[in-house]
Formats: sequence, structure tokens, C-alpha cells
Amino acid sequence: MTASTPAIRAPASRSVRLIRLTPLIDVIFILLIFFMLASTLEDHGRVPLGIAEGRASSERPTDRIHIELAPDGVTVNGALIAADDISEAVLQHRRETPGGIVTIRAREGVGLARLLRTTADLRGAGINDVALLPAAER
Amino acid sequence: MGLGLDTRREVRDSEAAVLPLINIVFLLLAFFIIAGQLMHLPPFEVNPPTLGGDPIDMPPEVIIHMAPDGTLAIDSRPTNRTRLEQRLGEMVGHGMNPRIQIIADGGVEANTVITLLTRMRAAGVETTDLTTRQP
Repeated sequence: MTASTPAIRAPASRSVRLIRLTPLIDVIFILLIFFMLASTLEDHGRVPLGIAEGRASSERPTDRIHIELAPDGVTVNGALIAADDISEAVLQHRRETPGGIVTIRAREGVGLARLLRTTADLRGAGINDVALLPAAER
Repeated sequence: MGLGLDTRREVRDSEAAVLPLINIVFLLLAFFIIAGQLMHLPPFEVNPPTLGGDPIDMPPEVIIHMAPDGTLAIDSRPTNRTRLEQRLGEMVGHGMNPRIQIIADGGVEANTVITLLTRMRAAGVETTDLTTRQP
């Protein structure tokens, strides 16, 4: 019984000496460099965009609240308004015609950033059912 | 004998001296593994619009990049709209509903994106989320 104790200890201490720390550091350094170069800390988010189904553009157009984004201004149901007042104008139309769906069409020259900002504004005002219309047939 | 013991002690001492270094490097490694996510570099420069969006919970299975001029890339390889639709159509045809991440440049024509989303919808893809850079 007493003889077995050193017999167990001896291989354990030898194996400890077998593992050198230097190669371990090398490998960890290489892993660290790999992950630093290959990964990004940039935070991405997602914005859902609703696409109008085929009929939405023609079905019961009186119910619709239509936003037209042009490079030089915004119209809501044909009335020119300031870019900051879009959600307010849509809410105003909503009160007049409850349940109307909101459609957005972007004219040529309108960038994606502007479209997303508009939909984000609408979502911020609680208007979630926004449908995007494809460009008018050319 | 005495010399052998000294060198062994020296080795052990020098290794003990780098232990804090290993600790720090381990922490950095863990940080980059947990906080970072592997980049998917597009073949062109893409700057998604800076806008607060919903967090992305699940890593995407397919990544579509769109350059300011409307050029497309799927999984970091250049493609065109026809091939992209074909590939997505095949995936949907095989019963897959892949999680798709669309990273479009903020300067791209809004209509180009809407057309792409419309045609993706026609190909049977349900995802129509666009990626933003969180402010």
C-alpha cells in the first residue's frame, strides 16, 4: 500500500514536465491572430421589408395610403410633405380611413438608405404593415 | 547533478514567468471567439446603411451582397441576378428554406433592391430582411 503511492506520483510528475508551455503559447498566439483577422466586431441588424403582392398595387386603391419617394421630395397620397412629417401624415390618413394599407414606391434616384430610413420612421410610429411597390413599368 | 537541478529550475522559472502572458492571451482569444463573428468579405466594397434594426439571432446560411451599382455576390462569389435566382430556386425546390442575409450598400438604388426582393419572393424565398449597420 505504501509502495503504490510513489509509483502513482512518479509518472504524473513526468507527464507534467513533458508538456512544455512554449509550443502551447505558439499555438494560442496563432489562434488569436487568426480570430483577430478573420472576425469582425461590427454589429449588424436587420430591417424587415414587406413586398406588395401582385394585386396590392391595383386592389381598392382608395383604401391605400401611398407614399411616393422622389429624389427631391415626398408625397403622401399626392400631397407634397416634408420628409420629417411622413409618419405624422400617414397617421393622419389612417384616422380618416382606418385599416388602409401603406404602400411605398421609390422613384429613380432614391437610395436604399433613404427607403430604409422611411420604413424605420414608420415602424417607429407604430405603422408596421408597409408594402413596397416595385417601380412603375418602364 | 547540482547543475542539472539548476537548469531544470531555470526552465520551470522561465515558464512560470510567461504564465500571466498565457492568461492574457487566453482571455483575448476567448473574447474574439465569443464577441466576434467570422467575416464574409464580398468581392467589392459594401457599406450597409447605418440604422437601428432588430438583432440577428441566427447566423445566416446564404449571404447576398449588393454593390452600389447593383452588382451581386452570393457567399462572397460574384454572380448575376439570373444565376442567383436559379440557385435560390434550386434550394427552395429541394425543400430548403435557407436563412438569407442581404447586405446591400446604402447607396444602391432602392428599386434595384425592391426588384430583387420581388423576384426572390417569386422564386419562393420568404426572407426579405435587409441588413443594417447598428449605430
